Amino acid sequence: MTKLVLSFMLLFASGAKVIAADAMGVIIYTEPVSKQEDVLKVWMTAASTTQIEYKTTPQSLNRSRIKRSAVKSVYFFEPPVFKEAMDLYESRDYAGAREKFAACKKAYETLDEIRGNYSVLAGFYELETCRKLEDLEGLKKLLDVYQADTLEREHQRNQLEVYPVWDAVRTKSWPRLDALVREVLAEKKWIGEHLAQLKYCHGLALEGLGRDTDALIAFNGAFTADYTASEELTQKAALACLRVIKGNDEVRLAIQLWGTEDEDPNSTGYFLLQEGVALCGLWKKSLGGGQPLPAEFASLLRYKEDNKPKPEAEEKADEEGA
Amino acid sequence: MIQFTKNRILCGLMALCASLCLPEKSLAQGGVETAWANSLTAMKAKEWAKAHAILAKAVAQYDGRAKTLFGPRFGWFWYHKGYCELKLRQWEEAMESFKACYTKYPNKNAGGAGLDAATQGSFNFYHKKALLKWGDAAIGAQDWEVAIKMYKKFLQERDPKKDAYPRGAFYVNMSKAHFKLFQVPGGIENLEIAIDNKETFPTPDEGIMVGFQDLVEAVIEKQNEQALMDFLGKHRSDIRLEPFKMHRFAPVLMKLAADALAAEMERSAFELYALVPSTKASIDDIKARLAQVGTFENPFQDPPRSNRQIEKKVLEADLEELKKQWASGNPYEVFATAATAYIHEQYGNVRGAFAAYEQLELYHNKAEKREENLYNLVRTSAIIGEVLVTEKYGSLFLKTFPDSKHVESVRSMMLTSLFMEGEYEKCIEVATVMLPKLASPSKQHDICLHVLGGSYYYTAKYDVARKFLDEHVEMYEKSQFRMASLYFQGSNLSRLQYWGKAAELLDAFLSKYPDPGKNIYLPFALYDRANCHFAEDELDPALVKLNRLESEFPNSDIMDMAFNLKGNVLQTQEEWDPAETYYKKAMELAKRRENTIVVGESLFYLVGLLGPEKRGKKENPRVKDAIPYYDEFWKDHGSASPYKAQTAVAGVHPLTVVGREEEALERLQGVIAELASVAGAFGLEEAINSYTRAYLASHTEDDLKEHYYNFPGIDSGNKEAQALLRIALITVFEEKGKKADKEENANEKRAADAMVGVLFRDLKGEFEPAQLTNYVLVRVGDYLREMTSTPRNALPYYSEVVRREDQSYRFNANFGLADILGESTSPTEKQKAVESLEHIFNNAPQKKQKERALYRIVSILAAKKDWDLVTTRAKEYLTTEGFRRYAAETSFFLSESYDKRGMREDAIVAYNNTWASYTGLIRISAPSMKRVMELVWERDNGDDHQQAYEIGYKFRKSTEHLLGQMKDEEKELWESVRDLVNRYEGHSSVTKIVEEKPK
Repeated sequence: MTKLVLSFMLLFASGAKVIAADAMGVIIYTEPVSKQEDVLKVWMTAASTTQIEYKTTPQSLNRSRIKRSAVKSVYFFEPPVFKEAMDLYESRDYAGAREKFAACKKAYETLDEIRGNYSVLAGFYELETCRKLEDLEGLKKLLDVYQADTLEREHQRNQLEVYPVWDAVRTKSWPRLDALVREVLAEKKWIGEHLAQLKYCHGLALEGLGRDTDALIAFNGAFTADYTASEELTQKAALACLRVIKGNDEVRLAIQLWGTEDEDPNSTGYFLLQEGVALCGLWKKSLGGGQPLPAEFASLLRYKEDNKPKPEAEEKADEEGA
Repeated sequence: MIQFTKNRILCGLMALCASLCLPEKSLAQGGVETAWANSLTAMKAKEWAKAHAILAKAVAQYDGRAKTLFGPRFGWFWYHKGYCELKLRQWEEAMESFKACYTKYPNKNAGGAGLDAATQGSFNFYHKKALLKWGDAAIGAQDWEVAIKMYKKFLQERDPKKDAYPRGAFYVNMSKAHFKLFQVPGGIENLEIAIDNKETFPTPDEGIMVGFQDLVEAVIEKQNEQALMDFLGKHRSDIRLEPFKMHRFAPVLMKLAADALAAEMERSAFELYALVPSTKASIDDIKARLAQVGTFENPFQDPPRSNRQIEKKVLEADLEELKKQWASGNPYEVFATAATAYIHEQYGNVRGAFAAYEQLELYHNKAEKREENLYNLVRTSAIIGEVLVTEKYGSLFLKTFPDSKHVESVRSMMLTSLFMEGEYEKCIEVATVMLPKLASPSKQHDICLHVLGGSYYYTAKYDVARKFLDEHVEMYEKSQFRMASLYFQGSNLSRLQYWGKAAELLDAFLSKYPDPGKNIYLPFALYDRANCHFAEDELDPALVKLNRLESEFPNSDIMDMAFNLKGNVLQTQEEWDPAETYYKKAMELAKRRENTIVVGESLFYLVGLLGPEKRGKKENPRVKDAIPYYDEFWKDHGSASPYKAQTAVAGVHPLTVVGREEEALERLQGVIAELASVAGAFGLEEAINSYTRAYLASHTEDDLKEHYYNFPGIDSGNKEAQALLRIALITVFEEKGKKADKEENANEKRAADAMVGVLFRDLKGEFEPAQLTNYVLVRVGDYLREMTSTPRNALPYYSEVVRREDQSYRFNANFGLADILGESTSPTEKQKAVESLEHIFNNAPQKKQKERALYRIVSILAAKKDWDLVTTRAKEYLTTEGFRRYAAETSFFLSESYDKRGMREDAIVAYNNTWASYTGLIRISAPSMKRVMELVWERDNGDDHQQAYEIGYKFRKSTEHLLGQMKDEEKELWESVRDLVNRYEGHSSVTKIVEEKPK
């Protein structure tokens, strides 16, 4: 009886999803009679905690079921929609990728009970596109309903632990964000991509708290963590550094005193100013990803040490020497 | 080079088999058949050398006649010979073989009518394919132009129906040939064809990555970074494979990135590093796929018929490799992160380098190059001024790599960064361990010595700082810290109150580094110099320095303290209102700067200025104005200010005036108890003395004695405070004794003196010299020296003071010592006395002390009968401006020194000067006169006898009226002159003076 009800439910579920797609894959299972291991190439239509419903040809109207307990493993072939989404994602077209991932998530959601299914995986990347687009409201909404139980890869599951940090960014609660990032950072050794995010968010918190130097260290950590692979974060972090430097009172003083007798090359302001100049150079070289340096920071390049006006006396001596 | 598939051989073999197995075959054909069959068997078995030998023999044997005997179909032998040569990587030979297949055995007219039997139906199935293989062989031979030419020719001539080819590999090879010729656009065009059609050709990912590698190499060579950027912009998703595949290309990408770096193409380098997947992500990806693959062993494509091959065995091997790599501590991330650090530092962003090195330490501390990475972390943290981080990782480095070549460098970086950030206690801790281990002189030693001296200076351990600062100045004339060391040296001496020497060094410093733009210590040196002037009562010069400081360095960090000092100077000059103005300026500035110690100091000065009973000799009308400052002091600075004792003392009078004397006394008592718990606390002595006076206003001396023997808050173990209380008590009874003496109350005087004696004996018996403050030691010493019959018992007390670095009461002790030792019969002790006095003469801040010291030196030298030196030092005294107090005695010593040295004329002049200048001072003038008379008499030149008599006579006459005031010993001296006059008067050579009696 139970079997019948379940079958009905599975059938209903698969029938109800008009946009649902069958997931091509391979089921390796133990044949119940012979107890031999066997392989089935299938088009999976639905799954529950106990059964998988499938077809043996894509066109078939007949659906078979297999007990999950007999299944040793399920291999999902990469569906075209997921590949398209990934191509867009890797090409940094996050908006386009987001739509495709959403579609993929929807299409295979009847299979989200099985580890490695493309619905949960696409759902994960949908979250990632939100993050990359910094649509933190959208990220929060998706996260509220996202079920990650069958997400296979550990580093992806770890990313889920980074999202609360982004949520703290969303609320601009800097002391909370500072405390949270420090706590999260201490938890484990993060991969570069995660570290870049944590450092960037920490930089925002520290900047918000007025801790300029600490913020600079954190932002620098963001673009060194994965050697600029997180391009969008790299750019944001680099610009944040320039913003912090430009707004620093001691830097302002160093700019005022630039080239004058009162200039102190050993001052913090002078050091930070030169750091800003270096970052502008690095922006052009790599951090900017080919984007022009925003005009508001281009003025920092005036304070390259090479451009420093010579003191009058020295100039005069040079002229005389010439 | 991308290889064609093996299946194509089999297809060719089948065709050849069919063409050679003809019924009309000749004998020759029979030999070829064997060669064909045997070579085929060998090739199937992948025995390429064996097959090649058979085929080479066949072509050598038959090629001359093959065209006639077999027609174009003999091309099979050349083609497969070339194929074997490809397998054997004999590229040149392969090119020749394919060339022979193509050029010697074309299919033109093959099987046509009218031809001989041998060529009838003969067909070279490999004619066009030989072009393709020729191109492949040229790729192997790196003959890129030939490769391109053959590939193009193949495309032009091939039969689309028969001459299939692996298109992915073909276009990748085409792109390679272009890239190798640095024809970047041509290379990209072909690579893009391979990529764009990767699903249909198909083009394996490996092929794409090979093409990408060639592209990168070409753009690096041509310095055409933009081409790479454009390509990545278009094809990033094609290049960026999933982690389970991408990790295989990590070594190539790492190498390319390194090449790009070397070519200063940093953006390319970063892009390439960014393509390297995280090792952990690759491991995760492979694990996930293995979990899905389960027990399925066979390779398959995912999706089916794609170029994405999944094979359990490969995944497992990759997983093993990656795990091994991770466990080794040297995954690719380590190299990429280290390179990132390098790039950032190269471009001047040291903070970026620091962030990368910190990541290496936190995440990859098993890396082979950890020592270098950690060292760089310490180094970069020091540059960006993260002192505590430098300390943290520096300590870790020293602990982990104690034998590293960077050890000294790390120590010094920790030192300089700690020093720059004012972490002086830590500097002392590190440098103290480090200094003895360093070669001297050396750069490290220079840094360490400077930091150690400077740190002791900044932590007010001036006595300890002195030797390090002196040593640095002595050893490192060219040091980068020269200016700082010279300043510290001078300033340190001023803090030790060696005012004269400090003034000398500070003057030299100010004249050596006069440029404020280059000398950051200039305002501080001016302040210190002004302080020296003030200490030596040179008030106007002090004001000159302070005014300069005020006008030239108004924003200096020292300005608040300078205002206070100016207030001190003005107050000493009795410029009350300006002094008050400056104390207030100091207070306001210090408040703005949140320099609470200076605020407390200013408040104390204001209480001290406004609160006393008198201003100069006049009544002070502003006593009550001190109260608000007193109250503010206790409200805001009562717990931490070092001026508590002084403020409590200064506040006694103004508080008494407003009826708050109990509060003042209570405050003072609390301060005494508090200060007593701190060894060497400054101001305790003044506080006790002040308290004593205030207490006696409402209590008897006996009450005081009782109170001081059980002072609240000071336990009996606190020897320093107990001794101070006893001394205060002694002072009270001494005063009582003096008062009784004045009032001629013998009983009371006796009782007071007895009490003083008892208290001193108690003090001497109960306290070891080492337990006592300098003040108490000097008081006990003075008592023993002056009031007892055993003055030498005072020596241990004075010696204890002189032994200490603490300079307080040093001169009193020196005088005490000199007095005792100077009286000794031992020349050695007399010499010690002179040395003790020389110390005072050279270092005493007050002129009075210098004067007294020099005079005592002269007197002891005279007692030693060191007459040459007496002459010199007495002259020094007499020619020093302002030295007057002991001029009479010194003048006499000078005269005596000439006399003793047999310099009669000089002696006569000197004695004459002495008695003439100090006639009224009989103890000096009488002996001088007597000796002049004697010397002149002895000279006996002309009327010398008469002269000697007459000057004596006149002296006697002019001083006779003083007889009534003379003490006994003076009278005796005077009478010896009188007697001599009388004696000379009776001599035959002298005409007696007869004075007319007044009418």
